[in-house]
Amino acid sequence: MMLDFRGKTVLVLGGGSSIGLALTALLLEEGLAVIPTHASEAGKAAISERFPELARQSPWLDLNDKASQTSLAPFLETGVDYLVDLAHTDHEVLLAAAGEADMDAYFQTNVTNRLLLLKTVTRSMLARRFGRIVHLSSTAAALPAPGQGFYGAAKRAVEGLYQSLALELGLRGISGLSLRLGLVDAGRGERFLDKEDRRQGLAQKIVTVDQAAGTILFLLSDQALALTCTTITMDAGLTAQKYA
Amino acid sequence: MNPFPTICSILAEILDLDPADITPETNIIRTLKAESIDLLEIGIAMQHKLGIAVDDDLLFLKNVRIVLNRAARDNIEALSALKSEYPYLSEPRLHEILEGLSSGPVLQVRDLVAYAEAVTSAAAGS
Repeated sequence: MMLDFRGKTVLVLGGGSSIGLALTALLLEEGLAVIPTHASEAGKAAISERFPELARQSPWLDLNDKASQTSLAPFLETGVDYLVDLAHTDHEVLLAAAGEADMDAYFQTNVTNRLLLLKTVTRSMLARRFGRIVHLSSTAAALPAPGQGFYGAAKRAVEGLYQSLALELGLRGISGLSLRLGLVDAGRGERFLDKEDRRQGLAQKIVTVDQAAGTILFLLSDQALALTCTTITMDAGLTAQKYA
Repeated sequence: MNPFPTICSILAEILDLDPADITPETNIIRTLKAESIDLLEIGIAMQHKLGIAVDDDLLFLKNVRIVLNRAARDNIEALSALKSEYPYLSEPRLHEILEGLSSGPVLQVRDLVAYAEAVTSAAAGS
């Protein structure tokens, strides 16, 4: 099946991540324009290395730093049709041991600053009455491991934001959803798998980077537009069974 | 430049109206039946077409009752409280707002015009 895209420009938050890079390659193959953001020098270098032609149009966007959101202004002025949200900071701590400053900072970064960004992006989309927003969530939103309290709670909160935005703006052409991924062989998932030889026992439960990127590409397409105001799970059955 | 024609065309387009039916005294919510999603779009369109920064709460007089409740609690005169919150609205207009509150939302087209003029003039002066 050929996928159709009524929009042209995709803003990828966290474009230097493994999934961001794989997705960017797919989007470029589809003839779409990609704006991959980076939050760190490592992310910027990864984008430059894989896509030298995009190096100059990769804005710095760090959810920790609200001021960095101004870097998106020229792109939003021109118009962004799709937003793929792969950005999320990691912070593992037992909730009963968490410091107050950590609590404030984590939710300010991952929830409040993200909502500010979503407000700006969707207002720009509203002016043209089309937009699609896709949030990469995690099965930790429903089933966090000990230590993932901040992460799981923030993911669940952000899923709520995406659902409400799509609900409130749906009649004006804005749609969106969250995709909960399970164990991905990249980033924190890769670090988890590499610990204590977990890779072999969980081999059938791993979502590959290419599978994740391909699914996000589909979710952006016109064919998936009816998938909106919802959260779907893609975890190779990881969370389907009662006991592991 | 008088922003009224632009605001008029924005309202006409978003609310599917004949621009000839819109006057500065038209009530946007009470008469034109604008809903919150319409107000959101109107604010965004004003931002884009007039090139001004828009604060939705101020532009659409969303907090009038909150301001008045706070003023009553703090023993501040209602008119002074509104003047302080909405310095771009004239005193006669603020009187009208106070008198019209019991009939429902008070927002009129001329309030958007006054806001746009004030923001444009502030930007030009800075």
